[in-house]
Amino acid sequence: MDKYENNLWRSAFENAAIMPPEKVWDKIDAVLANKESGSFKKRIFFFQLLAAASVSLAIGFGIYTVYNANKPTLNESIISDSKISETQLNKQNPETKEELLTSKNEASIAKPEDEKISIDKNSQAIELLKDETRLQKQNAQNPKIVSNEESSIADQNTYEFLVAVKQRLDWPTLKSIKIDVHKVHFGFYQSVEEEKKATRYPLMAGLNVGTGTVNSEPGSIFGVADAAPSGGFSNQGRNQPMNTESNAVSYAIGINVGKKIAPRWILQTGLQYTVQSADATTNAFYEDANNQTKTPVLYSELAGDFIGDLDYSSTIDLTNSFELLTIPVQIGYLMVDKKITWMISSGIATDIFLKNKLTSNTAGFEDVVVKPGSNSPFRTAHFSGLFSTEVGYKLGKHYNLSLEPSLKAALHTFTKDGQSIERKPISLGIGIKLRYVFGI
Amino acid sequence: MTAMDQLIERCIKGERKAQRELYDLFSAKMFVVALRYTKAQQEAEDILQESFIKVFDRIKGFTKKAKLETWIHKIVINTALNNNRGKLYMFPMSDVEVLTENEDDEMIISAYSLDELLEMIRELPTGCQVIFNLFAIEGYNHREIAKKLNISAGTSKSQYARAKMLLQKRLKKESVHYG
Repeated sequence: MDKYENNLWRSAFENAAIMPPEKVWDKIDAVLANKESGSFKKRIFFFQLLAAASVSLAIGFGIYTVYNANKPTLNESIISDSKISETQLNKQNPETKEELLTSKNEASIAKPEDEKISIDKNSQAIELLKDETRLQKQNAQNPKIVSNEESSIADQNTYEFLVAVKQRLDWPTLKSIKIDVHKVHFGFYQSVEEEKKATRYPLMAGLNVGTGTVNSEPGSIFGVADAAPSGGFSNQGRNQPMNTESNAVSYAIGINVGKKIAPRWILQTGLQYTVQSADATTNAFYEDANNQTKTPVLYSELAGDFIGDLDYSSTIDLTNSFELLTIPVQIGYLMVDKKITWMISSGIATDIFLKNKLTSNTAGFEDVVVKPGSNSPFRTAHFSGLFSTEVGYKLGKHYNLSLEPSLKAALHTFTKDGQSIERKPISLGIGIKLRYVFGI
Repeated sequence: MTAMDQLIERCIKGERKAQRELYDLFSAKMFVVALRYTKAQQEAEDILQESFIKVFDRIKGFTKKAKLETWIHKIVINTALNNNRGKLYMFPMSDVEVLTENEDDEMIISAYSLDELLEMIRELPTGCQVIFNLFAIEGYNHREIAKKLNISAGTSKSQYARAKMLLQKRLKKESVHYG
């Protein structure tokens, strides 16, 4: 008999359905939103680790570079030698000047085991040979300037000096070379400065586009899901404001300029127009009896003393968008500077608030536009920390195309002082930059 | 790919609108399941909420071997059992005297509305309520119930018998009341 009875019970409940209250979904929605922001936090933590590791690495490389920059190179040692020679020459009888200089050169090169020379042979000598080749091309009609004892390089440019230096490493042919120390010294420095100006510190400018997400965790400008109290969101006649907001999607377009300030350090800035847009819902609105207009209110916390004037309805669907003008200033370290480049950057971004628009997707409600000024609850300018890593590809001599994932975290609240809510957006983005490099 | 498969795929991607659609499709049926296993409506709402969060968390692992509705139904039952486990631990079920079945006491339930039947089940003691649901409505046998609830099959049988007796009493009372 059990089976028969059980079948009766089973069939009685087989297709039974009772609509649960809307607040159940509101709670599910809030939990899911928190979970999403949790995973967002994990991603942010990863990027923070990456940024920290990158900065540490960049500092390490920086120290290494500075340390090595302070070591004397062959060029500097030669100049140093030349200076000594010059001092010595000034003290000596001018007639012995040539002889002394020659003997100085002899002394340096007669000791191939000399540590300074032997080290520099491997590095700087190669550079000098490269420079010689380049200068030879420029002076193709006069490729052999230093040739015999009668020749003087006193009136020649750096080329002769570099050749002489190169030949110092090949002593038998150098014995008879005479050097005018003053001119060589000057010419060499001039050449180095020109080299730096021409190749090491170029200016860059370009265009960039990007997209990203802005989190919806509590404390974010897009994070009010947790503010929903228990109770039916869609219940008519409720007297509590409730709102939800999804992660915002951002789009940006802008221009950027950069300047190398050291062999591997680049200072960058630019100007970027950004739009951040999020789906939102609210149940609060103002009704203007005279104009018979209904204006939705998303951030009821900002209503202040007027909160008592709010009316409540079922869910009002909105699109909440912010327009910003962003000025980033970043310092970047080039980890790799070959055909493919890799740079780690960090800095500060200034966001200038242009407009906030609440577009109502529910019939019967007006759109709301907030512009900067004393009536706006948002700061006209607010600052964020920026971390990014940029992987680029050199397209020919002047162009560089790069992909740049970035993390931007607000340093302070986006709302003005005295407002009852704080919003500190954190965003993840990815951008593409096309740069033109000047002065190569 | 069916519309349901597409909906599942969108839920896997975490699309909130798809999750809402899925919730709208099954929440009313599942709410009845949650109500059957609980005493208070708030408790049922909590179970429904917890169940759907589990559904969205685990939907990636849904193998499509079973119907989605069956899969969600099982999640709701397990969530409800977890919810009741604490109560069952506090008020352990013991064997009760098995009553002799009386053919005349056959339960005639067709005359009652869904709300009335629900109320009758929800008024049963927790142990009886859970076992009656599992045996009479979900279709589990006593061995399976014993395994699920970590009790003996005999306890399951006696609790079911007690539930049946209490329901019969209630049905008789109702029929007298309605004349």
